[in-house]
This record gives sequence, structure tokens and C-alpha cells, in this order.
Amino acid sequence: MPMELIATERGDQVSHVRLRGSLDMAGIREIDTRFYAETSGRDRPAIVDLSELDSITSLGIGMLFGCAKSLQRQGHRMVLLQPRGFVDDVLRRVGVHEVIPFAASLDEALRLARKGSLRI
Amino acid sequence: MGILRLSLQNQLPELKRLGFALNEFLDEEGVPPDAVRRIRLVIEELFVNVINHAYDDAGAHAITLDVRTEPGRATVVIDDDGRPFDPRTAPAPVLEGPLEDRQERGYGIYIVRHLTSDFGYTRSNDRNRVRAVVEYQHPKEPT
Repeated sequence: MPMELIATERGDQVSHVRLRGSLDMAGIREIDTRFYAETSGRDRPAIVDLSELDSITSLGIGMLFGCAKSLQRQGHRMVLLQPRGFVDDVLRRVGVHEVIPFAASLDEALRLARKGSLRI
Repeated sequence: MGILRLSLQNQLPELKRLGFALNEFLDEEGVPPDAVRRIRLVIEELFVNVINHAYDDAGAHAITLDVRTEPGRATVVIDDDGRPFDPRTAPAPVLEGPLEDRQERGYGIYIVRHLTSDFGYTRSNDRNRVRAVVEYQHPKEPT
């Protein structure tokens, strides 16, 4: 399955992107520039929807950490929405959930994103 | 039981060919989707690790990959002629502390260790050989 990034403009000062496919090396090469542009490049909190992400490698984890750190330096927070199954297991295994909040619903993600921002 | 044997060049675009061949093989072998994800992740992490760290020169090198399936397990062997490196000695990543202290690289081998029931390394004839075993629930044969 090719990697896809779908950006949704929510009009509420929070970026929202959905990742679909496998965030492996090939997938990252397809979307990384746009991913950063649609998240840390927008100077606002970001929700990254992982509900349709099938797999993730260490490089994908690095991409998420890099983006979350960049947002934090801007005074914003990244929230990961609905990581599932294998992806959820891998992310928790390396402790991503301890520093980037996971949300089970869009409402929760929006609340967490706004709560973490120093600038909304 | 089935065996997939591939000879790959030390170039990242080989991941595409590797992915196609693996998917086809594991599908033919009836390996469940969740196990396919784990096997693919283990192989990609190990293969990328070899490409990124094994060679001091920019020349072409052959990396061989064997995947052997048996009921409930897949054994992966990756063989390369790079500098000696036992991946089991790779330092564990720091998994605690604030976000700003979290590293953006270095999780690959840690993930491989988590996903495998056996992870071995030998060096002989100037070649590294890494062996990783992924175990899974094998679907029952129809009665």
C-alpha cells in the first residue's frame, strides 16, 4: 500500500493530518517534506491521525519525535490520534506515549492539543 | 516450509524489490498479516542498518537475505561483507525523560529484539551473519 498523507484544515487553529499506509523508509520518502510542512511548518498544534497507519519503522518514530520536538520549541504540542494494533504496540514499546499524548477520539485530541499549546 | 533467498545490493532502493518479494512469499506461505508486519519490520530494520553502517566505501556489495518459514515461525538470516558488527551490542536507546531529550534515531535494533524470540550473530569468512526468529500463531489447517 503506498503511503498517503491527507491534510485536513480544521479552521480551529489546529493542524490535522492523517497518515495511511506503512511509515517505513519508502513511505517516509514519499511524505516527509509535506508532513513537516503540514505540521511543524504551520506554527500551531498538530493532530496526527494514525488510525489507518498499518506499520511503522524506527525511522518513522524518529520523524514523529523530530516533529513533536520542533512543535514544542514553537510552544505547541503534537497529539497522536488512535494508533492501533501493531503501530500502537511499537510506539509504546519505545515510550512515545510518555512524551507525545495519545488520544482515543478527535474531541480528546483537540482538547489535548489546545491544552498543550502556550499560544492559542 | 518455504524458503525465500534474495541477493540484494547495498542500496536503499532495493527495499522496494525486497518488499514485493517478501509480500508475495509470505502470502504464499499463509503467514498471518500481523506476523507479516513484524517480519517485514525486522528485515527492514536489519537491512537498513547494514546499508547505513556496514561499509566504509561507496562500492557495490552483495547482501544476502534468507527467510525460512515453518509452522508458527519465520527465521531470517542476513549476510553481509561489511565491517564486523554484532547488532546485539548496540546500545539501548534512552526510553525515559522529557521529549527534548528523546533521540530521533537508534530504535531499530531495540525494536528487532522486542519482535524476535531469538536474535543471533556470527562472524566468519569476513562476513557478518545475523539470524532473527519471529514466532507467531499459525492459522490452523481447515479440517
